[in-house]
Amino acid sequence: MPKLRVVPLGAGQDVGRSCILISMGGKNIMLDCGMHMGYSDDRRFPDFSYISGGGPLNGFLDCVIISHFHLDHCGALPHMSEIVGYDGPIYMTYPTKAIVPVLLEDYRKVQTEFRGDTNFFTSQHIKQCMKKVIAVNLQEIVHVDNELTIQAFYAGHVLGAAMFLVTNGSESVLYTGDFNMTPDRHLGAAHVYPGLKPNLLITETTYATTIRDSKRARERDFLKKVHETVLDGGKVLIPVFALGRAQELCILLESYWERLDLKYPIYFSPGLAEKATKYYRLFINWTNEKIKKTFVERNMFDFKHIKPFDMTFADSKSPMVLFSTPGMLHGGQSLRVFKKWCTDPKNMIIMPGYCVAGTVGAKVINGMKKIEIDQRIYEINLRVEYMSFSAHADAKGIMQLIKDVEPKNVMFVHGEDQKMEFLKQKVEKESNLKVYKPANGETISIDTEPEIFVDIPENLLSKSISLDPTPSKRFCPFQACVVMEKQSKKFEIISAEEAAQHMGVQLHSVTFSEIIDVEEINWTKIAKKLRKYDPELQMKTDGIDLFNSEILLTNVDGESRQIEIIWDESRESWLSLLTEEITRKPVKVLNI
Amino acid sequence: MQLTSLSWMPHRPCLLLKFPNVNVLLDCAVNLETLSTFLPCTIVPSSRLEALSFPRSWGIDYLKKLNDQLFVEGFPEVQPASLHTIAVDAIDIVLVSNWMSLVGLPFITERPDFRGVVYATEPTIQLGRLVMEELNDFFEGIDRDPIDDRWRADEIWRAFPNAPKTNPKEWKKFYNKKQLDNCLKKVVGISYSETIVINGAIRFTAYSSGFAIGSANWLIETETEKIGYLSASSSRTSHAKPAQWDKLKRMDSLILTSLSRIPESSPNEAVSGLFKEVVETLRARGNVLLPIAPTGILYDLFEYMIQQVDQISRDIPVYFISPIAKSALEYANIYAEWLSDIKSNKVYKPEEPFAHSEFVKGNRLRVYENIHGNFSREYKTPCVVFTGHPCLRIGNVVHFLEMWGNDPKNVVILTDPDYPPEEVYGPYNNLQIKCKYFPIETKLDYTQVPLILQDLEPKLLMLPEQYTKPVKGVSGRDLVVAYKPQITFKHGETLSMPISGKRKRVLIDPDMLKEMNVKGAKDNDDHGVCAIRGFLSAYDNKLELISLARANEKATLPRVFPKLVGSLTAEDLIKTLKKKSITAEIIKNIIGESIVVKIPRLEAQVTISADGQKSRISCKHSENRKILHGAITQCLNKL
Repeated sequence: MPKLRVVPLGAGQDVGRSCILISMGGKNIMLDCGMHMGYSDDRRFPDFSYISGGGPLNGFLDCVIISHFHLDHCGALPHMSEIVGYDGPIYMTYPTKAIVPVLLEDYRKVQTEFRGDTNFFTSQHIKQCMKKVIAVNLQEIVHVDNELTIQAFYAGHVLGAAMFLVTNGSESVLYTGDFNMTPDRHLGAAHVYPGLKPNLLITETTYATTIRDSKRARERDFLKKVHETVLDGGKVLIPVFALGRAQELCILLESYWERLDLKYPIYFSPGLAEKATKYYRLFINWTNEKIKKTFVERNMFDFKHIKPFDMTFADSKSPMVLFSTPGMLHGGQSLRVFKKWCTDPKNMIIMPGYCVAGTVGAKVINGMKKIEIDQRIYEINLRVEYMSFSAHADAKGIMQLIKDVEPKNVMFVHGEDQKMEFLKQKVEKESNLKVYKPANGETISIDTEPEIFVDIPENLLSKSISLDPTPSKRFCPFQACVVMEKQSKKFEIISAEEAAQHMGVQLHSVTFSEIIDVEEINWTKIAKKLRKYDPELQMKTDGIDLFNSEILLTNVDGESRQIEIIWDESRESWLSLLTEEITRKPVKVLNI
Repeated sequence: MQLTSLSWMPHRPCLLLKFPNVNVLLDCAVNLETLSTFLPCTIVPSSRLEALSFPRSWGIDYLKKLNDQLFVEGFPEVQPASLHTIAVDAIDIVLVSNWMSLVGLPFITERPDFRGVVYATEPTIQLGRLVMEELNDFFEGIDRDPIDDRWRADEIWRAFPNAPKTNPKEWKKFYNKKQLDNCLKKVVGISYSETIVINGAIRFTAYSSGFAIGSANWLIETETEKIGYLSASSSRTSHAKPAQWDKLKRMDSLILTSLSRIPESSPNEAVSGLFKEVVETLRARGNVLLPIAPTGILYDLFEYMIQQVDQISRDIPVYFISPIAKSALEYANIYAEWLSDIKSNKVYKPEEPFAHSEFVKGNRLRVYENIHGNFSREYKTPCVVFTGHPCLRIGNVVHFLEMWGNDPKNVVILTDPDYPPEEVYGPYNNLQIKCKYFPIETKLDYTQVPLILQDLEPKLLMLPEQYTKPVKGVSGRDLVVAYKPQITFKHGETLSMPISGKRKRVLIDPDMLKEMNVKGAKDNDDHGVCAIRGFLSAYDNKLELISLARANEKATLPRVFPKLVGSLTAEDLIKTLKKKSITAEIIKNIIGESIVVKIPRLEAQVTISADGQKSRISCKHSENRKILHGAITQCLNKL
């Protein structure tokens, strides 16, 4: 039995450094190549020595696929390809290919300039790495080689996010990356062909236990809190990724400001923000239908109320709202501003997305009142709000996806162990599927049934189909012979008659016969009744010939109310049907 | 497979492919050349076109004499594909290859009997929609009194010096905005290399044809056959993604359509001729008018044009006037996935693939919806104007021709090979303005086709009859498409194609393969034989063989008896039955005739043919029949 092997090098019972290896039919594929923001040592990258034992990865991998531009999915890519060494194809969607190098460069700067990391990939590495990237369009079937194909589907998590279907012969795996099953203000909902029936669905489970409260309520809550804080003279810090939730929240806040005619300034980290807007414009096809339709007339991302931020504004006494990068407060501008604002109880920080354990963001969410940043202890007095705006599917969405694609097995990644366990039990109970949730480095192995096709002559097929009296044609009796060329093992399917001839033997035919009682023998009337079963039946003076003599009806010597019915063994299931038809009395209309 | 051609123009194909389970319509032709029969529709009244006489002999006052030709002063009409020979409700799917084909779609989908689904690439849908909206806008702006049908009589229209090429009785009014919108709701957007499966029986995939943004050629696969369909294709370098020829190699049949209308075309020479003319005209302070479609080649022309004009003076404005001008420019820049590498790689910088947005921002390219309002106040000469429609009968272009017509310094440059001057310029022949023709034709021409076919190596080429008739090339030599083997089709005709292989692909239960025990019939035979039995599922057009065991788990099913080999003797049968303690006796035995064995306990008798190759079990009870069948099976060998 062929086996499908999967091992997560990252994202196994964890969020961060997503990197999953799959091995199918002799092909090895790496799904995502992310970094972990909770670690600053070797553990920040997946352990690539697992693949090659330490050397370069060429020859060990057939391709690498990146699902979207978030660093926990692509942050280790230049390290993997340029420092460890990999020259094969790397696939990602067009927007991802455009945005990944920007985020990698941003990440590199935070690491080397703020943290002083000297052993890190360089700008040159990022450039070389990106040269190996092949951009793919949604739903385009890309042939990696003669056997291996990949196909991207819209995932709706961030601009350009995709699920990937990896197919090798009859085996297939669908990897969701991060996905969102509900459309939002700027992106559409994940969209995958229903009934894909992959051997394995590898799905993220960030919100495995959350059934998110209605989106509107969450948004109202967010607006209310922001508004209260600025009314009270406080400042609101919203740490965000440059692309993704930032745009969603900006649209939300912009329209609220417009509606209430508010004058408090809203700022956005400059540079990245403008570039982000440009990317959205170039890839407008990857946003939602509404934005696509109106993009010629108005750009959703040209904001009236939102202005670029300057670090000098941070010391201003007046209230303001600031969207600042990075989203997990692990360095850069958002952390610098946080250090300035965190002691004032009038201020507020809103954490709109998931923060990896170990980051300042995670500590803030956990409610720590004293946080050490760069060898200094900060008192955390500002109001902290954690609002889940990151666009992941919740438990309902994950269940929906499983129902839609009908996988044969399910594997969970990109989530916390206990939460996965909860959902695992739910899925196993409700859909009767085997669910795996391997830890990093733990291999799972799935038996796959190969799909084998044979070419069968049409006459044998139509003969078989004609033997089944039911219209659904789900179980048509089939008989034939296989002739195999002993040397090449090539085989061909032929009829039993041809096989008998080939073997120099004669077939023995068995027929059955039964005598049935009838009211009268009128062959014309009987033929009329039976024509619906065989439009080509032959009427004779003493009987009827059906299905090319496979069923015969004849007179019984000297009997005027009996018919003999003779049938080929293969027509057994037609007997009761025909007998009933022949003996059925015409329905009499009652005169009342 | 059957192929029916519903179009009389090989460059505007409309073909119906009939398969046993699925009917596929390839493209939707619409002939806009019919427009040239009508008198130009002016936006602002033109004295030149108002005081025309009509031929007295017919007494039809709406037939206007102009420059020795006759023009109908009625509402202009177009000619859709002729669908009367086919059952429209039987069309399952329509494949639309490019924006030109999309323009003809509402004539099919908005019929009440249409029930199919339409597929086209995303850019074809969006850019095609713009072209349709522009045309619709032009038609809606026309104010003409209704006319009667007298001119449609054969003896009238055939007598025009510029007689229409097709019968005006088949012409129709253009669709309205509501029909247009309804039509596009029926179109499903697809990507290149995305395979769609219909009814489990037919698979089709669009591949880039290199002609326009999103233009497609198609691969259609059945169980046994691969059919390639070439619509408007180009092997020249352009802004569009290059044609993916490798996906259409070694087809069982290749359908070739939409060749260049100029047998040996040289678009590069045309472009350089055009710009030479532009530069000369502007230097002499004349105006340049470019009647053009609002998408396609004009994206390239803008980039060259600004460069050229800038060299003369940055003060010379370049105008693009179309109700959908802004959208046409914006949309071109959001299809990186569908562009040539040079264009699409720009988004990684990130920059827009086409420079025209920058030109608009820098006010080098000025965009207006129409000639009223702002344009009429702001426009200055000399200038360059890109506007539609290239048929010179409808749209803003008519106004510019009338306005600039009296000055020989001005030039109108025709570039669309579908609208050559000999067919569209008639009403303007007496004007002072220069008319130049530089056809920019990028579709495959007669000299490129042999090379492409050599590369694709189809097992059979199917092509419109017209392409096998010699046409004159530039050097005067005769050009034809000649390939072996090839068959031709023509408008209204149906070709039947033999189905090549008579086998079908069936998914087989691995258990059945495991059960296979292949043995040689003779010692020195290099072939082994083995019987297989199972159930075939043909549900939903998916063929699958299921093993007996697995099928019986799922349903109560009749037995599939093994085939038996050998001859049966009455003695063997009686002996076998005796072992089961069933008594049987021969009741009839005449040499050379059948032997009848009677089995009283089972209320049955078995008749064995004289040669022992046939046996018949006559019995009322099915249980007893089973016992006897089992006994016979024991006496003989299974195949």
